[in-house]
Amino acid sequence: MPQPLFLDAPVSSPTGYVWATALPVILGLVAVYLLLPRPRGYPPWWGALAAALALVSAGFLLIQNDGAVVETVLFYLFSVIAVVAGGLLVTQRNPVKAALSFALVVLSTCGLFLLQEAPFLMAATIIIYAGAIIVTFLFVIMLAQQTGISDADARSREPLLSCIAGFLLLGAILFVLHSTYNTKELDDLLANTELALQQSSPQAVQNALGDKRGFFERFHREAEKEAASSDASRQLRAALNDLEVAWKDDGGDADKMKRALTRLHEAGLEARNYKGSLQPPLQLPVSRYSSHREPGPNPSLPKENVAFLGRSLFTDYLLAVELGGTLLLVATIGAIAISARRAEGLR
Amino acid sequence: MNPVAVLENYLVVGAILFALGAIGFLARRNLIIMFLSAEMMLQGVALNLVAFARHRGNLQGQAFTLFIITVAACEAGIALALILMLYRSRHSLDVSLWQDLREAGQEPTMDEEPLPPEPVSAPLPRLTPAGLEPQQQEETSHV
Repeated sequence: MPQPLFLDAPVSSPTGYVWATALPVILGLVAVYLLLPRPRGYPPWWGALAAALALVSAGFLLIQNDGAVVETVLFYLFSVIAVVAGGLLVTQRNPVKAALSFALVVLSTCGLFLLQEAPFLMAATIIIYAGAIIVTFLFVIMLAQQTGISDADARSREPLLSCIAGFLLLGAILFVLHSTYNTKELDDLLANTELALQQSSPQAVQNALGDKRGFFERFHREAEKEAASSDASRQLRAALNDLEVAWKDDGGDADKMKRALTRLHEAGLEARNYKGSLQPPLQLPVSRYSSHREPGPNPSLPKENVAFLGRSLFTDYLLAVELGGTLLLVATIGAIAISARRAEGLR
Repeated sequence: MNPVAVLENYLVVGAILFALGAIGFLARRNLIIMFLSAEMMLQGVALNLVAFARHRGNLQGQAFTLFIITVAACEAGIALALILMLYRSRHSLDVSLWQDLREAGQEPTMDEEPLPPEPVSAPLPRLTPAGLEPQQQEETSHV
């Protein structure tokens, strides 16, 4: 039976997700709109205040964390630097300072690469973009108006419309991400289940689980978010059915309920790890040079990053590497052809 | 922390970088800043791919990011050559000077508000001449 690879769309979308994404997005829109350069600008403090509020609310509402692990702290550090420098790049009047903030964006993105186990990409990006940024500096020094205010730097084209366009896109992306990958609801339900497992009498178990209708509805909504064909989803639904059968309003059998609850807990943990996953089924053939298949939801990358990346590039992606080389050659010739001075009168 | 939450965090940062770059490309008028904004959009996408590579435990995402860097380098070369050519013919980096390339039937955008006057910097102090002016030596020539 062919298995669909695509995620089933979440059927119901709670309004909580809408507000959690709308607040930081609207604050960010206000901030960027106020800070974009224009001849008689708004005082920068208002924009800075809105930007700070947007960052803090995004950190609270969109970023999931549990406790300060080193990785979490570094993630916050690098991502805050990246986002703030990106905002400065967009709103900066002086092109030299804009190029400097672009350097900051690249450096902090490289930090995030390193956190995601991509050391070779980090080094390559730093080396390549260092050259690119130096060349950009040269261009700024060569071409930009050095004194006074110019039309190019002090004005924006349609600041309101472009801000709305950009932040509408961002809001849509964040909403989809939030409703697909957020595990808070499932974690709450699993905590409830754990609490219920510690009770002894059937009545206490039911009390710990809370409202019957609400509990089942929330759990079914979570099950609908899993790919319907996946193993995790099937397990979750089966466990829910068991529990519903065992749940009698006048008490019921505590052992039976607990067995169902244990199964539900295991299936829920499994489902959480597979959440929003497009992991292809294990029997699909995947090149052994680009991946090593391990059973389990979160396989690890090989430790020797450069060796494996090189082997993957020169086996699976050999044709693409050749094409990339050709593209570089063509681009070099094109750049020379475009920028070469032509003889007078030939334009 | 569970791996799905980690993945979502990185995707959020990538989306924010992408959207900020899009706004910069649409709103700014300096050609060099537009170019930098486009590069920032590419950084956001690369971050997404690297996060997915980590999440799924295979190297396809990282290999793809390497190709993104290649294409970005080509784009940078061509873009800077184009900026140089555009600057030569209009003597400015303002992209609105090229709005005669717009579609037929579109109104040109005019800048109504004048730019603020340049801030006048304090004049440099003039020192009063001190000392004696050296005497001009009469040029005498006995030819």
